[in-house]
Amino acid sequence: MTGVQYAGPYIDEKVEHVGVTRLRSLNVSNLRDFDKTLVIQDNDKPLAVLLAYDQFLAMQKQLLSVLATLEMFTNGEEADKFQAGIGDIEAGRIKPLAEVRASVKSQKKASK
Amino acid sequence: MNRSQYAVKLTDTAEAAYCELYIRVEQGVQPSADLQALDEALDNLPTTANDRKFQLAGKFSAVYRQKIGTLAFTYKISDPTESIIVVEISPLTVSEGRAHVLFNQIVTQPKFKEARAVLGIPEKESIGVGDLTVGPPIN
Repeated sequence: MTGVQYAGPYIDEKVEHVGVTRLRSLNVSNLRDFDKTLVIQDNDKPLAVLLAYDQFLAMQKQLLSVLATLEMFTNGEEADKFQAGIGDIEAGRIKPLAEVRASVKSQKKASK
Repeated sequence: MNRSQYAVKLTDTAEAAYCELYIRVEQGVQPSADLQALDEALDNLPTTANDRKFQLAGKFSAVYRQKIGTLAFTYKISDPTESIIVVEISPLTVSEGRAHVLFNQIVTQPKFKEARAVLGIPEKESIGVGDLTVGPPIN
């Protein structure tokens, strides 16, 4: 954080508030290159939002990322293990999965 | 999802969890399906950009997380070295993983019906499986 904050109103140039009739002007070619967000409204009441499919997927991915992160850090055991795992990587404490599997199987044989 | 060609490695922390799970399965404390599902997931970690789901946010954006049944694990993908490091493997909390399964098990038990009868709660007013709005966990 720089400590400098903008206090004025923010206008997103990519968001347009339009009437329902604007939908009639949309076709395949302009939807393909669509890079804006349309807030479809009836008089002053917003009814729906139209945005590009890729933009929606990006938003969804971002939301899922935040949820996954939140979920992980709210599970105390997982958060602790995650920190320990990162420490292992930094210290080079890693080994191939195949080696781990072979090790558990050989220990099983030895215990029989 | 294509089978991963990247070398999968485990941190010591992940190895300990893997071994613990293996032992629990051997002892019959945990179903073998849990280990099978984890093994399958580890053998099929997605490496192509489009398949990389559940990336963590912020400074952890190089890490991905998957939930498999009652477990969750996180991993880092290194494209230059074509390797994947599993950071850790953890059991999910009940609320994350099996809450809906446990709830279903409870409400379908005969004892639940008996208890309802004792309490004088008519079936139509009770919370049954059909009323359950909690969906399965996202895997």
